[in-house]
Amino acid sequence: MLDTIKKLSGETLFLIVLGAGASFLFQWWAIAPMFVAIMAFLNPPAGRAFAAGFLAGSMCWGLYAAYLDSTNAGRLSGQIGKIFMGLSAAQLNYITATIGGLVGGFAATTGSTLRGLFAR
Amino acid sequence: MRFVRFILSAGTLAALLWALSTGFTIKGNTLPPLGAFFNPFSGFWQNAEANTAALGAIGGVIAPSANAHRIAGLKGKVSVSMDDLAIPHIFAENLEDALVVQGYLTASDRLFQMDISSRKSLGRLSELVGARTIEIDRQSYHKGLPLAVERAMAATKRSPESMRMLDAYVRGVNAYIANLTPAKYPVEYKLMNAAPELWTPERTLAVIEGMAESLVARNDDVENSQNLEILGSETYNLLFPRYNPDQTPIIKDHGQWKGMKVASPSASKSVGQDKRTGAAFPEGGNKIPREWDEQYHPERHEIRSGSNNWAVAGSKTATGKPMLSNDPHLSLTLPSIWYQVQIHTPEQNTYGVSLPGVPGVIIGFNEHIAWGMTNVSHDVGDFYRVKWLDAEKTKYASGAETKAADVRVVEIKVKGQNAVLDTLRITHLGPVLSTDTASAQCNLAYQWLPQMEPSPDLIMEFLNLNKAKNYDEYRSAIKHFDVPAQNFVFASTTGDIGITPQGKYPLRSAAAAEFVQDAATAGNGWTGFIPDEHIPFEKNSVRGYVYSANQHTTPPSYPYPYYGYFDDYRGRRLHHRLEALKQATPDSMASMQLDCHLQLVDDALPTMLKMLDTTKLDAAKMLLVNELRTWDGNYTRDSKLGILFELWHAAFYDATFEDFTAREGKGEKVVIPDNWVLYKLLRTNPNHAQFDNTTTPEKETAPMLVQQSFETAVTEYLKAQATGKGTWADFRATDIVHIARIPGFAKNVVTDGHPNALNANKSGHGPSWRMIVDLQDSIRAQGVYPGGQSGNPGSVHYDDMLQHWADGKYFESLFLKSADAQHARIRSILQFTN
Repeated sequence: MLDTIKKLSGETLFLIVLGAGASFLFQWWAIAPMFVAIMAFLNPPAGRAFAAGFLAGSMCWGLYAAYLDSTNAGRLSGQIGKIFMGLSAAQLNYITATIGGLVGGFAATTGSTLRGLFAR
Repeated sequence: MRFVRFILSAGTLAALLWALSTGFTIKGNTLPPLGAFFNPFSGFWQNAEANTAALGAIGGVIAPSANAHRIAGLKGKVSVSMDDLAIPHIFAENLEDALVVQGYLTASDRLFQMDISSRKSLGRLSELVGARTIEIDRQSYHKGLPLAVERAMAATKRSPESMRMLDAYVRGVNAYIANLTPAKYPVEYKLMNAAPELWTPERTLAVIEGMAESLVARNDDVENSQNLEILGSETYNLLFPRYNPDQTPIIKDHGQWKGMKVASPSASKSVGQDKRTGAAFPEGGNKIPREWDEQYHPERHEIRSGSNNWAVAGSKTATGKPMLSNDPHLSLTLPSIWYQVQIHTPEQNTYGVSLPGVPGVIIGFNEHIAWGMTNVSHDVGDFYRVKWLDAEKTKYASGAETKAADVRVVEIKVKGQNAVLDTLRITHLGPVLSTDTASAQCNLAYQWLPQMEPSPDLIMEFLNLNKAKNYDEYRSAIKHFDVPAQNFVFASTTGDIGITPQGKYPLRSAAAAEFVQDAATAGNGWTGFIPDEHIPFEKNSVRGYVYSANQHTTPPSYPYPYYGYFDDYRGRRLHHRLEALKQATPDSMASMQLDCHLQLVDDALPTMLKMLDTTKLDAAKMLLVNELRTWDGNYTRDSKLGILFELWHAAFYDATFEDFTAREGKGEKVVIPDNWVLYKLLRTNPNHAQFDNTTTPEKETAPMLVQQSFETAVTEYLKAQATGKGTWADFRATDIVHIARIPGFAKNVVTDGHPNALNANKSGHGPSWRMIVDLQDSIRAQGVYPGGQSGNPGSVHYDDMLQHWADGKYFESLFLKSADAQHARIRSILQFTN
């Protein structure tokens, strides 16, 4: 169990660092190919891959958004929320984290199952 | 099994990415693709500027750095001091370089606004926004705006100096756009899933034409013709007099027009004045089309708010030096219509407000002079009824000739759907207003000043004014300014003051300006323009002041006919205040800009109260009457009696002119009489037939209507008090809308004022820039507009001047003398080089 948590944490951290780097440089979907490649390389079980991918994706997106929002004192998110049916800044942040998480999770699983195709 | 797991996983990922890349439409609203929009590395979160950085950066986009920003083509070094309001103070070695950097910085703050405001005149809004603006684009074509831009471009190309300055500004804007990554696009583009395109000289001219359009597009020809037809000339003359003898025109008659030889006999008033008989349509009957375009319909039931400017001579100020004041009343939007800037070169040091997209300063001051503008409300558009000779409506009669219309098919590109094709028919008098050959509007041609080729010096006029050092240079800078005609007010540190209602004024009879004409007999419409030397002006008036509030330019003794709009009360109030002014300071100027007294109250309330039969009122109503008797007529935000008077006036007006309101009720567009006409009738002829409602058997008189309307007003007033609309501020909100009407980006504030007070506030319209300049040897100024320098809703500078504006406060204008000038308000210095 502890071993799994350790591995999960390590993989997540790895994904976050490379995912954030790719996101700064490339398109919004940059974490998808990045996570596919990383998880194909690391080859964790599909379940753990999804967990690591989801955690990394949501943290990558959610934490960065939360940081930008905090330095802006919620000025912009309050106004964007009004356009989206009155969502609060926190709700916008959850949506952001969830999108990042889902893309990250399914990308990581795709990487892991892709590797699985070639496993002996 | 492994394969299935992979396919499931990869398939889900692919579906997710597709869904997140697609802009779905829900209930008619198209959402941006959510993946890109929510991604914090490139989506809307990137527009959430850090508050601390924003104090030093421009729009959060250009960070201050040790290295100079490079812009290709700069001839020298340019240094920019950014102040605490994010106002750039540009120091350049020459004007071209200054304009390059002005373009660059304006784009960094206002790119989306520049795009939207130029697209409107080009008929290209739908390309960016989608189907909901097709009608606006279509109207732009039918009013001839893209044609106007085309002609302005052709004219400007004939002036190498104008082109050089225009190109410099365009280069600056494009240098900014070229460096822009999608992550830094203005948030509106992200919402619309669009990208900015490169700026062009045509775009700048389109911004100018758009401004002209918003100032001189009003036209009452159709409604006036209808009124004349329905009312007959006697009633029409009574209810729509051309001149109010109580008003105070901008230019006083000092005998300067005696012996003036009028340029064209057909334009002289002796011919035009009595032609209010509808003679243009000898066939008589109901020949004026009743369907009309919203766009051309003046909102007559709401009082039009305009602008104020004035200059006072040293004889009226505490320092003995002149002062100048200007508050142009325009649409109040976020971002604001204006962008503050200081431009310093070896030849000039100029501060003021610019129009995003246009080089130079539009309203402002330099080390020697100050200037401001209000709109001249003289009508510069005419409608002509076209008699088509073929079913396709391509040929029409003009005198004995048959003329062919220039028929053009234009393509309006629409985001998310196929382009819309529209047919334009352009007669020698102007384009016709509808594509639909079955529509009555297809028979109306529109001759409109902005469609004419403008002066080639459109760009240089303001740039020359920016560096003018004295009265003569001011006059020379504006002498070819043609449209939209403006009352240019002036003051100098050497003590001169002046005002020039400068513009191009078509020569035609007053009747031609007022009514729809017959294209078949109208020849070329206008026979020319009022010659420059006959345009009125005033210099160093003996009154010690010059002023304008969009009222009549001249008294009736001026030999050319005038046909214009705007209620006169604001001008009269300003005149009173200026007459009484002594030992003026900037504070007394501010108190005039913020004056929320309604002159209409002085004109109407005493007579109304006198006519009221108080024996018929209960104690509660008597209490209100007594309060009204001592009311000061000031529309402050917490005023209650202001609501009561507003309701009483409206009810009395509607009861008196019920024949007009009944037509409005049927959906007709109706021009209604001015308020002063009503109260003059009330004072002079309370038994006039106009007060009788012809649909009732009883014969009503003015006192009866005054009584009834008071009862109605009190009922509504008490209802307002009971429903949380108890104060004037609750009763009418002051909304500042976003330029693309994005609801989340709008603001509302609580303000004093009334559309027809000097502080002419109403929702979405009002004092767009309040400026006061004290022309001491070392010039000092203060200004404020309802917004902020940044167009980014995520910036503190999006609305950091708004509350000050609402509260009637000003910011001192930081007028720096040199690039190395130190000041506590300077937050950062930016360098630009080739």
